[in-house]
Amino acid sequence: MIESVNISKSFNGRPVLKNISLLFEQGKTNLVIGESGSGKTVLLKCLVGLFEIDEGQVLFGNRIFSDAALGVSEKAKLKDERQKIRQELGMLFQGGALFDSMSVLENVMFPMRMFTDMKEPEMLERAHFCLKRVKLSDAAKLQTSELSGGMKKRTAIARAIALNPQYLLCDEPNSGLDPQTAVVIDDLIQEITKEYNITTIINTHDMNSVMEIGEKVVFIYEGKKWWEGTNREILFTNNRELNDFVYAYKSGRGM
Amino acid sequence: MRVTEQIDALEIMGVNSASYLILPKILSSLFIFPVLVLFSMVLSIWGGWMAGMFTNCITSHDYLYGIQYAFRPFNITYALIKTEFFAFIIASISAYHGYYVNGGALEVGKASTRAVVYSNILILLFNVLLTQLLLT
Ligand SMILES: Nc1ncnc2c1ncn2[C@@H]1O[C@H](COP(=O)(O)OP(=O)(O)OP(=O)(O)O)[C@@H](O)[C@H]1O
Ligand SMILES: [Mg+2]
Repeated sequence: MIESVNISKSFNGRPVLKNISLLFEQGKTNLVIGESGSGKTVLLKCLVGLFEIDEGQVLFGNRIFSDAALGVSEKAKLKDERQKIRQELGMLFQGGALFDSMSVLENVMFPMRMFTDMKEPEMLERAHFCLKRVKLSDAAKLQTSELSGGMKKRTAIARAIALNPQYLLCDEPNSGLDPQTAVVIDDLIQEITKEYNITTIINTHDMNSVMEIGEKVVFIYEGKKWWEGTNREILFTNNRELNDFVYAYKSGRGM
Repeated sequence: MRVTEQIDALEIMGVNSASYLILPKILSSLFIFPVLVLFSMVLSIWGGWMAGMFTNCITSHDYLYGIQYAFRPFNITYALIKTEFFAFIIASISAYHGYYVNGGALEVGKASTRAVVYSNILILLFNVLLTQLLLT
């Protein structure tokens, strides 16, 4: 479970997130939707501490990860706890964020190298298993520059799940992919979520994903939590902005 | 690296990205720069010797006498001390600018220019300082 309590974030006085409270449940694929620039990426980065929040609290399980009300010395104390939580966390960046000096296999092995004392053969076995999960067994030896967009995303997923994370955060895992590959990736993420009963958050603006795997959907609009519910409910809502988003009408034009 | 979120990816995994990325660069520069400098000293002296011989400007005997005449071993120590300072300056300033570059390809170019300019200025400055300190 990941929880945000009244978090706000602004950049140079320009508010991007306004007082957002959310609960992302374990064992479910939680989707965050919203138009480009609505603050999805910022929200995700605030949750994991890449941006420090201005107000509010972020909790992983019942452990405090960020708390804007804390003083400097208390924040320093939080650092060890943060480091621990981060090792239980896999994140997929919008651009993949693969280490470009390493091959696919080395990318997947990297977290194991850093944080476990597994032996080389064990690591190799685990890395090959992860690559098989994302159907990339044949690409293990390739450099990241030799990968297609979809392969990069899949490598990033393999790296994110290498250490059996408790939390999986994905920033637009299937943007820029063809519809078929997008479905494969969605299914894969849902499968992993169910299999290991982890807490998964996915940023997306792909309505296909919403309908396929949106067990819980949060709609962000103008930096606020505008709507939340399930993918079934989304079809019957009378929330105007959400409907505009879902059916892609230009706001103001309507039908 | 920040540009492509690779540093964020390190941070997320719980790696201390600054020390993971910068420390090895500084350490290896401190280690390898003196080796390179010694290498270049040997090569340039040997090159001068070869050139002198092949052009018949100077005999082998004179050359060997010449390079040992008024030779101060401290000059080599002095060169190596300076090298260590310069190695630190070059590695840390470049790593710093690389680590904090934000934006896109354009900013990467600007950051590398800044790194070169600042390294040059600091090297000039330290060159003067070290010469004053060590050779007077
Ligand atoms: N580092 C930053 N500094 C200043 N402003 C930022 C920064 N990062 C994001 N923003 C601003 O925050 C707002 C939300 O950006 P964000 O990247 O979260 O959008 P998004 O919902 O992820 O969009 P997309 O779907 O296009 O990825 C934008 O207006 C952007 O300009
Ligand atoms: Mg985004």
